[in-house]
Formats: sequence, C-alpha cells, structure tokens
Amino acid sequence: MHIKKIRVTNFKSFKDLEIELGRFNVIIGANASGKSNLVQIFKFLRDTTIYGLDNAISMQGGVDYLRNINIGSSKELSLEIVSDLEYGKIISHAKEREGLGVRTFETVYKMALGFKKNGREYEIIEDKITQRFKIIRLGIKGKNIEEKEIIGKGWIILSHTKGRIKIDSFNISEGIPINKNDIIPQFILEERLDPQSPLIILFPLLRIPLFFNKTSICDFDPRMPKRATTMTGKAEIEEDGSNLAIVLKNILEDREKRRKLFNLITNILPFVNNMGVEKLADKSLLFKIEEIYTKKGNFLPASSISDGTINVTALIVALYFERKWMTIIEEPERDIHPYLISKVVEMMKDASRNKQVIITTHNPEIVKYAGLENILLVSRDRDGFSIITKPSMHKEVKIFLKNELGIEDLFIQNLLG
Amino acid sequence: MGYRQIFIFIEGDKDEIFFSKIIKPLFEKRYSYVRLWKYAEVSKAKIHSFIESIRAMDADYIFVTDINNSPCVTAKKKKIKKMIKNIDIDRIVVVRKEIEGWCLAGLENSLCNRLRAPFKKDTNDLTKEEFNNLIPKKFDSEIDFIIEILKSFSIETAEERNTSFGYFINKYRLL
Repeated sequence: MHIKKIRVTNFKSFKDLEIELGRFNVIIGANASGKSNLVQIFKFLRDTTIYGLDNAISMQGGVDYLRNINIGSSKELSLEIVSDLEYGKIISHAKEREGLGVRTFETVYKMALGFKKNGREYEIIEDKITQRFKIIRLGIKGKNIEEKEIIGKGWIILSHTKGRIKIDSFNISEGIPINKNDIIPQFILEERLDPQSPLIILFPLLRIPLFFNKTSICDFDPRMPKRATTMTGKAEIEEDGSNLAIVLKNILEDREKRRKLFNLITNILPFVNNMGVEKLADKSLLFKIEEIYTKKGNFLPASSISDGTINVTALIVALYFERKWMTIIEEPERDIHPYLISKVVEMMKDASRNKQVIITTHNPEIVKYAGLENILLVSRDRDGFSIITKPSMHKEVKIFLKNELGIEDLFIQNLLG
Repeated sequence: MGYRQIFIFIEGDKDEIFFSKIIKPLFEKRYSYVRLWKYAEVSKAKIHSFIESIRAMDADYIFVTDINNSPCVTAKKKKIKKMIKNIDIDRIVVVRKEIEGWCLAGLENSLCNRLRAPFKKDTNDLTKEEFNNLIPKKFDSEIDFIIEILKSFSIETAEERNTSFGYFINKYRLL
C-alpha cells in the first residue's frame, strides 16, 4: 500500500522527473536543490483531493509558482502517481456459495494541466486512472468471504474530458463473465464533472480508497506546541504540531495507546516518567511532562519542556498514531541530540512497516543510519532544473564505501551525487 | 570495590534496547560505570582506536556480535579478529542467531498467552524475519513489542531457551 513511482513535468523546479520510492525514503540535497518541491507534489495532490483544484493551485501561490518559472506556460504540467494500493471488490455472487471478485494491484493516476496564451488560465487536458487487477474466485459462507484462486487478470482505463467521464479501455482474461460496468457502474459514467475538477475527487464514488487524503505532511515547529491550544482543534496532528496537546489527550485517554506511547517515548527519552494534558481556565489545553529528575507529581508545562522532547513526541505521534498511509516529515532531526538520531531513524524504519515514510534532511547522522538504499539525492542540473538520483546506483559511491568512508562523510563532502 | 569501567560494544539500536534493559543493570552490580557503544555504522579504524583507548583506561570491554551466516562461533570470532586486529578474541560474545532470539527467549508462557504471542521453546535459530512474523497483530511496532516483552523478561527462562544467552550469563557470572 504505497506509492511506487512518481512522474512529473513542469512542476516547480522539476522539468521532467521520474523516481521510484520505497517504504522508507530519505531525501537529501543542498539548500535550494528542490527537496521541499518534491514534498509539494504530495501536498498539491492532497489539497486537490480535499479542497479542489483551484484552491490547491492557489495554495501553491497560483499557477506561476506551481509550474516551473523558466518553462512557464509553454509546456503542460503533469503529475503521474503509480501506487500498489490493494483493495478488493465483490463483483458477483454467481452461485449461492461462490462469487467473483477483483483485487487491484496497481493504480496509476495521471493529471495534466495545459495553459492558455495569457499564461494564467489553465485547463485539465489529461485526467486518467488506470487500474490493473486480478480476478479471483471467491468462496462465500454467510458473511465470510474467502479468496479461492486467481482465475485471470484485467485492466480498466477511465478518463475525464471537459466534464465527461468515459471508459477508454477495458480488458479482461477471456471467458470471464465480468463487464466494464461491473467495475465502473453506469451511473458514474453519467455523472457530469465540473471541467475544472479532476477525477481524484470522484475516488470515493468509484470506491477507490483515497491515497492522497491519507497523506500526512509534518514540518514541526517546537515553539507551537509550547503554547496552549484551543480544545476545539483537529484530532489529527497539524503540520506544525500546534495541536499536539489535543492529539495527546486522545492518546492518553486510551489505555492501550497510552502504553504504546510510553514504550516508544521512553525508548528515546528515558527520563520521561509521565505525561498529561491540562485543561486551563480558558478551556485551552496544554500538555505537560513529569521527568524522573523531579518529585512525583511535579509536571513541567509544555513551555518549559525542551524543544527536542517536544519534537520527539510529535514525531512518535505522527509515525505511530495517525491513521495515514504516508507520512512526510521535513527535517525530523530538529533540536534532537546526535546520539538519539540513530534511534529516531530506527523508529522511522519501524513505522515504515505499516506506512510509507518520506523525510527530508540535512543531517549527516540521519544519512549515516538511513541505509544507502533508502537515500534519494536532489540536485540541480546544468540548466537549473531539479533532478533526483539514487546514490546507491553510483559506482563511485560504492567504491568510497568499500574503502571505509562513511555515507555521512560522502554527504558532508558532497560526494554522494 | 574500586572504580571499574566496562564498555559493551553492541551492533545497533535493537541491541541497545535489550542490553540497556536486561544486561546493563546486571553489570552495574559489579561495575561503577557501564557504557553501551553502538558500532554498526562505525569504521573499523574507529573501533580499533576505541579499543586502544579502553586499554589505556584499564577498563574492560565486551564485543557483542550476531552469528548471522557464520558456520560456528569460532568462525565468527575469527572473522571479527581479521577485521579488527587489536581485539581480544576472548572478549567477543557471539549471539545465536540474532538479538531477537535473546529477546524472545525470556518470554514466559503466561505472557505469551496474554500478548497472544507464540511460545518458542528454542530461540537459537530464530531469524529477524521469523521474529517479525511472530509479532502479534495488536502490535504495529516491533520496537513497542520488544519493549513490552522485555518488561517481563525471565533470565532463568532465557538461559534454558537460548544457548548463547546462557553461555553469556555464565561466562560473566551475572546471576
């Protein structure tokens, strides 16, 4: 359940990008190389899903800042995401105890925007979902459904042009009694979309689980959770961590979650003895910590807690307590002692068993413990466009490593590219 | 007891969880200062220098390593000696097969039932992958699971269920 590949053209500092992602990805690169622009790809798709295309473009500063400044409106802007998201759907109950189902194993979503001569107006010129699936014979016993055997494969391509939705292509193994409307019901094809609304907003109607709104983007600012937060905020952690007290309150009220939180916190910060959330007179919330150095019951308010402690707490919440499929964290190492960095990396690898994790960093200690195969290097080419390479594919890097130069040494000396 | 120091070389963070919770407190009964030192991403030259420094301090040290794919303990020790020339071969402790085997060895039957984790009578050949497959569904973090099982770790049980752990406890007279 993760994004395997991204292709983009004319998006921010990228002219033409194609990268493959793993479960744990560490994005490194010099200042202004384009690391944050990579994060913006996911942010843009997420915002498009939640707020619609016009708002998502506006949230990027308008089309002028969404596309590449040098390329401008001369070329289309496109985004293509390949995901291995698996989900099943029952197609038919042909017999009482038997049925057919499909299980997707690859979903490709592509959206391209074209620009009008004035450069500011835009239109969707390509909007397409391709799904590849296995066809499975099901055994049905009451409410229990068992996948018996794979009997074929198929694909379907759905597109949207100027408000009309149509099936471009449908293919299925011969002799299987499934037709295209079993996969995409006719009523969906009769829907009229706003020409400026891409297909991804239809995902729930298509019964395709939404990947993009299951993406959490974090850029924690430890000063924000130090302040009291209004108790009416979101239950999911905000990008800057400002509502950490609310999220912690919900975690600490659940015995099992509380147990897990303490195990993970004390693994990195063994001095934490207890945690709590205090309701202030103005109905705001402030979180607090009891350290082993202080007398029992003497809690330190968030404003007196170290920035590193707050950052580690926010990281643990984002990695383990948010029901997301992807968590992107910008510079997770902020204010954390170098000795603890290896533990933070281990934690991110651990969390990536259940969700895809992408981080951006400048920190050599993170690079040291990340694992060469997980590192993606962002740099600029001769024309100033951002490119992404995998240092693990470079022969020279392998030679340096074989001769006992550490990855972190190569990173500091700018020799990973 | 005069001031005595011991440095325990461990591979990575999971080893650190086990050693800090189970082994370090046992050594602290005999040593004034017990320090864990992670060597996974450290160059051989630095390990060499570290050992020299420990000798100069007149401190003790133990170098802990997994047996991994080595055919036997002696072969693994020789391999380490070949890489780190100044290491004393009798200070190398070989974990069979990986640290996860030591973690699971001390998990008593009653706790297995409570955590819905399978009981393993013998953890000598347990690999990381097998350990991961044994983690009950309610745990979505391996780190959380390891910490949870170590809360009720029984050294006596672990000695019976993992030969290399039993050897280690006896060699350093930790009980």
